[in-house]
Amino acid sequence: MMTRIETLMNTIATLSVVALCLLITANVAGRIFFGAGVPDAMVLVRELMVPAILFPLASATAARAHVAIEVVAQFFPPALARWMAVLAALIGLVIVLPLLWAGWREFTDAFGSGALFTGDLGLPKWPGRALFVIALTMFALRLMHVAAIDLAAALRGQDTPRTDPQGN
Amino acid sequence: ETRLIHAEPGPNRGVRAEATEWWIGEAARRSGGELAFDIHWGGALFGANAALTSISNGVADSGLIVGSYLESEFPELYMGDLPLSERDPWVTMHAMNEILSSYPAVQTALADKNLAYLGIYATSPLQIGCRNDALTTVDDVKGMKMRYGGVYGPVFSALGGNMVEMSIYDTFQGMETGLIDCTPTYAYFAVATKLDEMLDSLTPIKLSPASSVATFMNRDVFEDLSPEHRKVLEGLRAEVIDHFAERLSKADADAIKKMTTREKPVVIYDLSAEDDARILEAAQPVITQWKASATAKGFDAEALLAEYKRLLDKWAKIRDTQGYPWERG
Amino acid sequence: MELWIYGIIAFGVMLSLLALRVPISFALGGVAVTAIFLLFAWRTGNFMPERAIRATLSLIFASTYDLVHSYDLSMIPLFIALGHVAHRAGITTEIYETARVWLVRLPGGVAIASVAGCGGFSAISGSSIACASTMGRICTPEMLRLNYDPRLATASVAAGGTLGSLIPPSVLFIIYGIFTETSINQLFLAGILPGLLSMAGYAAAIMIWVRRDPSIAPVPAETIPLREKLVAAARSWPAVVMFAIVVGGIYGGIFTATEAAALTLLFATLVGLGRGRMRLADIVPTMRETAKTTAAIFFIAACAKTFVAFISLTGLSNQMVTAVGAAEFGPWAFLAAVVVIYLVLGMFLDPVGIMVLTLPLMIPMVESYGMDLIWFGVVIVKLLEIGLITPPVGLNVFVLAAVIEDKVQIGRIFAGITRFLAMDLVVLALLIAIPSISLIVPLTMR
Ligand code: NA
Ligand code: NA
Repeated sequence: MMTRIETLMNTIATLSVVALCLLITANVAGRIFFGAGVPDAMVLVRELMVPAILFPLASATAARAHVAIEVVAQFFPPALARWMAVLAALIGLVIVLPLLWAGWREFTDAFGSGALFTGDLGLPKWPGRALFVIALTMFALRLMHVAAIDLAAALRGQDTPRTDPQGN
Repeated sequence: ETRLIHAEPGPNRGVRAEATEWWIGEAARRSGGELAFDIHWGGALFGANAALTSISNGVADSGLIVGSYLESEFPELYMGDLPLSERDPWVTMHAMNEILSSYPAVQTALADKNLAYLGIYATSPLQIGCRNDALTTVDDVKGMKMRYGGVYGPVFSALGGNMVEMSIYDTFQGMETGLIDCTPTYAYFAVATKLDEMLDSLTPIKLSPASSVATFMNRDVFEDLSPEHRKVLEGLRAEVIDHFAERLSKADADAIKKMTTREKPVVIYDLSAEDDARILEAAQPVITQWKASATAKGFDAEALLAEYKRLLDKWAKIRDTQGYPWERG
Repeated sequence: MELWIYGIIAFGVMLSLLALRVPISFALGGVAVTAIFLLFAWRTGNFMPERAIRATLSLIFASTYDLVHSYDLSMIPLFIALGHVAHRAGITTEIYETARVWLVRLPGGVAIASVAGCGGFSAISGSSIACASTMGRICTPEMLRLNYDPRLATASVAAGGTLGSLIPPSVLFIIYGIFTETSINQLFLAGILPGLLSMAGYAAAIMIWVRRDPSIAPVPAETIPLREKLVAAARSWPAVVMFAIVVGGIYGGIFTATEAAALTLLFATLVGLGRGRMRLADIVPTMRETAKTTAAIFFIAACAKTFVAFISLTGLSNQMVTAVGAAEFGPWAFLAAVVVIYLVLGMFLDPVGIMVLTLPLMIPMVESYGMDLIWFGVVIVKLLEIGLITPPVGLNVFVLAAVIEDKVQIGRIFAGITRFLAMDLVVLALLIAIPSISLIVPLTMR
């Protein structure tokens, strides 16, 4: 289930990059051939950046793709290394859960106050923040899942299993 | 003693930064060293986009808020950017200062945002700077490649300009390569950023300067201060305007002098009165849109704007009859 | 306790967590969020948790959201995606093929061709790691098949990959430009000659190595007729067009760097579709790798930005700038310190993390010495690139080892790297001593 949602989110992220690409291209073409670009192109690009960048965080976490430094850790005995994996996931939650909380507050503020971007179309500010909340929710869920799996492995003294069964 | 955290999105350079340091020095001096601010320059704590929420939530105790990004959240501050006909920074700042210090509906709105107002700044008068092509009449705007700059973007777009969205740091190179022909700028700012090297001409535009950049304090922090300290800060609001306006006008005059007396001087074009009127006309939609934003925030937009214009007239009259404070005997 | 001491303690905790294999982003972000909360909660001497929570949440949201919610940074996913699409569309292979058919008869020619191929790929991709992984898939197996010494077959590509950030487009220049408020377009142009110089340096390193020990690079017997060479060159036209869009478009004032990123990506996709190498349905899987790489880079940058805000709150940064100012180092001593700091950090940390940690402290000092920020950016990026191939954490080396499925041990790759590193230090010295190598291209634009 979580994997399928993550696959969907990666697809949305990719489509957002495609949309960025097309939007910027249309803006250039408009400027060169018609003397006017796409209205609020900059605002739209910035909003699209949120899913493009943050949606893949959950699956990156499942794939354990967050860069860590191995220099010292390669000398750890296996048992210690397993507990360190638990610690890593917990410290991740120390930043990810407050970020989710902060995003939720900003979303409700922007939604409640009806804040708009300064620009041609007066686009609302809440959608980008809503996308931020979605990205962080999935990121937090996946990180808790990883923490639980690593904790179980550490308690049983077994190797830490993969968390991205379909390798996406 | 608690050292207060003061956040500035920009670097520690230029006339405005100097005015902020003067203000902070005065606050310390007049409070016997008890109002001690540590300035965090260059957006180290948060960028201009996040200044409003950051100060109202207490990330910094005080700091600069740029209203240009906040038309819908902070229309009472954004009002200072409106392209009206008065084009004197000193007059504009004093009018905005009165609005932010005492207009009742604005006081309520600031309290809702958990902010206390401390001081206002403005740019020097607006110029359109061009390389190769020049803006000699409004008809020249048609098809002209211009950098989209804040509130002036829609105005020149409406006059037929081909607006290019680009980072302000790329303006120099954008002109160098011909990506843009012209950019809204200010004489002093152009020289400070070396943009003047690119410019062949300047066309003063008779619209009011942007005056939506203001210093605010987190209201909880302000209310924790002693009454004497609050009085010190309130007393500085108008004084920092006079201090800053004097230096800004001098810097602007020096910049114009430098550009017009250099080896290949910048040519200054004055638009005709009809052209001025056409630009004011093209600026109307910006004002209409602002009224909608202000109304959405619960203001009586017509009344607020009328009061602002009344104050602009009042301070223009003070200038015309008494002169600038630094020119009075 | 002085606040700046608190900053140093938090810094120490963060480094210890890094040593315990906590991911860089988690260590920076987790320590920052905790330390910021405690700092706000105890500021006035009384414990005030509600105010502290509000301030902390506001600060971490702004650091993260404003970083992501950026028009200029949209270049990063676009240029990273470009690398993947160019590979799928076969453009990358052609660049290498062209270099190979022209250089194969030289001693060590295929290794030189690999470096040249990396240079060519760098001109269309913004990331050194993408460069090493893409070219590693193509060039290294070919060299191993020709019985090249494994050290040469791998190190030439790992080192060549670092060209990705000097030759425009370049993710590192984009981030440097944004943090220092300098023109990204000018940075791109400033990187061209230093990139070519580095490339020539690598070619020279290969030639010297092969001359001393010809057995490491057997020259194949095949001769390639001129016709075939010309055909290969003609076939790599898409790469030429893409480089022209990026450099010509910026240089000629037709569009900005962000726009160039979008246009080249669209062009590479159309070439791939036109040649039948890709179908529309392939776009998503092709770019899925992009998504993960970009997300991880941005999350590190966001956490580092939060950490920097904390360091600023403690006043530690001001203390350091003041201390360096008071010590009255000459500019050369200052530059020597910069080189040492970046080489040491580069041994362990990734380039983006190093930049976000150090630039806010470093730039005020650079300005106080009156140094050119564009030139300094080139020096910094060169130093960061060297960090990608220095042990123990050499990201390019790791990526290369991964894409060739560990056919060559990491220790062997590092053994080969030493020769390229020596050459890099020579190039670095030249870049520092002669700023016009970097500045001449941006200056000729007038
Ligand atoms: Na590149
Ligand atoms: Na390294």
